[in-house]
Amino acid sequence: MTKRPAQLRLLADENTSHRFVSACTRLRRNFPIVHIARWQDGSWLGLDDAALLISCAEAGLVLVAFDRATLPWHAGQVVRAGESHGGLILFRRTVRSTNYGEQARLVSEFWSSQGQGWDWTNRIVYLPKSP
Amino acid sequence: MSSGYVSGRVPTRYERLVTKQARAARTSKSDLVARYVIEKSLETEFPGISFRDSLAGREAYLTGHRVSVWEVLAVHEETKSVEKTASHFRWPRVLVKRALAYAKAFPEEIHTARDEETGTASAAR
Repeated sequence: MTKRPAQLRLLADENTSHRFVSACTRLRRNFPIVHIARWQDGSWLGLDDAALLISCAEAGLVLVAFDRATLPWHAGQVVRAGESHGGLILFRRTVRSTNYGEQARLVSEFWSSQGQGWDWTNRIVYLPKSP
Repeated sequence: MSSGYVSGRVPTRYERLVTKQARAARTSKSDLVARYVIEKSLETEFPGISFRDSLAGREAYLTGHRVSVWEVLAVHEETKSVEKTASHFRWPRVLVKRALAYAKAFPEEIHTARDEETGTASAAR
């Protein structure tokens, strides 16, 4: 079994923009997020959802993506198959794809105030959180 | 939708392979062959487009990427520009154009996929 890195990091899925990642690091220096196109020289871009979720668990990465029903469904499949995923943060559809500042604010505030201290194994969070 | 008949002979090993795959997919061999014919002919007609499983059924996506055609269309509807959409994904413009060409050819399929992916999720919460 692969040993998890001590500090969790966030992996921005390809349906998010590089601009969202840049906005996060502008808001908080050294914010632990990387875009999937830059992770492992982009070699994870071709992974299907289940393979990506399992790989994220092994690498200690929480996946950040726009909500599409298939991704949480695959997360459930992964768990039912006896594997684990490393956690999912999903933007609700009220968050516009191109509103990078809003996306960065939601993720960085949530991560700094709560998320970084959690055990993310098999956990899914939707942002903005329900009141 | 009206349908036509397509037939062809293949070496036995491929017939066995399709039979096995149809069993795994819990569908008939003829339905699976029909899907293969449709998807391969579309992939040839629209280079750079492939198909994968989703909750809505099979969905078109950009080959080698994790982004569905409907997701490219959604960003394009916000940016109203091929250039800005390409910049959003940090892709060459040709990828955006390919996705939009497919979406234009199959608007109902793309909108259904989008509705299923975004609507189903919110209803389940």
